[in-house]
Amino acid sequence: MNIQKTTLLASYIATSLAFAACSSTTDSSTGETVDTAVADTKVKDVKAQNVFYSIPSPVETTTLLKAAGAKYNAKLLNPIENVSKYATAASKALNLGIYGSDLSLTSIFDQTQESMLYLKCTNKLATGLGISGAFDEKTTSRIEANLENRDSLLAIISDSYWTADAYLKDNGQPGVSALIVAGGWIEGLYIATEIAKTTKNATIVTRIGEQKLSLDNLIALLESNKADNESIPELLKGLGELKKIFDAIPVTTAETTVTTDKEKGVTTVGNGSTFTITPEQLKLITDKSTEIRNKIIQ
Amino acid sequence: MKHNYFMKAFVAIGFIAFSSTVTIAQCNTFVKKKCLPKIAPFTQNGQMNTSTLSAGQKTTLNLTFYSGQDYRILVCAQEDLGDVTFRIMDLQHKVIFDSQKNDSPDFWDFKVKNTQEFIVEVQVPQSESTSTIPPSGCVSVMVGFKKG
Repeated sequence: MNIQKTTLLASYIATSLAFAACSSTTDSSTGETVDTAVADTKVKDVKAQNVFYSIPSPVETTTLLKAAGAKYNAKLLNPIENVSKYATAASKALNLGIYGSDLSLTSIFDQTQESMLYLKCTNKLATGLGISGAFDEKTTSRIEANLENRDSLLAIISDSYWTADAYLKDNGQPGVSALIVAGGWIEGLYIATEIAKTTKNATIVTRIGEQKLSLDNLIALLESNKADNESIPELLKGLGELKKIFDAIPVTTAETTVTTDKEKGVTTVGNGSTFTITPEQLKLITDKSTEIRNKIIQ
Repeated sequence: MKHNYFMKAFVAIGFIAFSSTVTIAQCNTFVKKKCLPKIAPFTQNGQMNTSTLSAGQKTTLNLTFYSGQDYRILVCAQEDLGDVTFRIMDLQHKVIFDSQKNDSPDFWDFKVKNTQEFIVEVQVPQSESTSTIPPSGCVSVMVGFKKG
C-alpha cells in the first residue's frame, strides 16, 4: 500500500477515534485507553510502511548498457504499432514502462527520429492513464529543443518518470506506478539479455547477474502494492519464477570498505558483492525475461 | 447520542482527508521546488520516495548502486522537522555513512567499486516542543546518478 495512503488511513482512523473519544462523557480512563491504542496503531502502521523500494531507472540501465559496449538494435524494441493494443490500465502502465525504456535507449544512442516516435507512444499511454504533466506536449517540446543534447534529453525523460510517479501516488494509484517501474525494468533486462545472447559481452553478462538485487526490490515494491491493482499478482508469479533462477547465482560478498580521496573529494565504497553467472543460468534468464516481456507487449 | 458520535467522526474524517490531501500535494510541490534542484549535476532516478513524517519517525529506502556510476543520495526535509539525519548501511547493517558524524550534510556523493545494495535510513529528531501535536512535514529521499 502507498505509504502516503497508509499514513492518511492511519490519520483518519486516529483522528476519528480521537474525536469520538472527545465526545464521550465517560471517565478519563476510557479516554486514555483510546488515546494509547490510537497512538500504538499509528506508530505500528508507520513503522511497517515507511520502507521505499527503489529500482534503477531505465535511463540508468540504458546508460550502463551503452557504457558496457552495447550497440543499438531497433529490432529489440517494442514496435510502435503495438501501442494501440493496450486497453487496460495495467497493460498501459506496463507498456508505458517498456516504451519509456525504449525511449531512453533511442535517446542514449542518438536515434532522433525513433526517439520522437517512442515519445509519442509514451504520450499516448500516459494520456490513457490520465497522467498529467508527464510525457506530454510540453515534454515533446522540451525534447525537440534538446535533440542534440543527450544529457538534457535523459534528464527530461527522468523528470517525466518522476512526474508520472508523483502524480499516480498523489492520486491513490501506487500500483499503476509500480507497474510502470516494472515494465521499464523488464524491458531493460530483456534488451540486455538479447544483446548478451549475440555478443557474449562479459560486462553485460555481469550487469545481468547484478539484476538479482534489483529484482528483489522490484518484487518487494510490487508486493507492497498488490492490493492496488489486480494485474500485479500475475506479474509477481512470473517474476517469482525469474527470482528462482537468479537465486541460484552464487554471490560472493566481502566486507564493505569506505575510502575517501581528500584531494579529489571522492568517496569510494569498496568490496561488496560479486555475481558469477553461468551460460546455462544466462540462457534461463534470457528465456524467462523474454517470456514475461512478450506476454506484456502482445 | 450515537448519531452525534458518528456525525462528529464523519466530520473529523472529512476534515483530515481534506487537510492531508493538501499536505500530500504540498509535499510534491516542496520536493519539486526545493529538492529536485539539489540533485544536479546528477540525473535523478525518476522515482518519488516522499513521505509525511512526524517527530521521532524513521523511514528507509533500499536501492541497488552500480559500479561505474557516481551517485548522490539526497535527503530533503521541511525545516519544521528540525535536523533530519540519515545513515547509509550495507545489507549486513554496517554503517558506511552517518550524516550526524559528518557535519550533517543533506547529501552524500560516492561511487561503488562493485555493484551492491544499500539501505538509507532517515531519522526525524524527537520534538522539543511542548505541544501535544508533534510537528510533521515532508521528507524525500532522492537518488541521482551520473557516469563515473
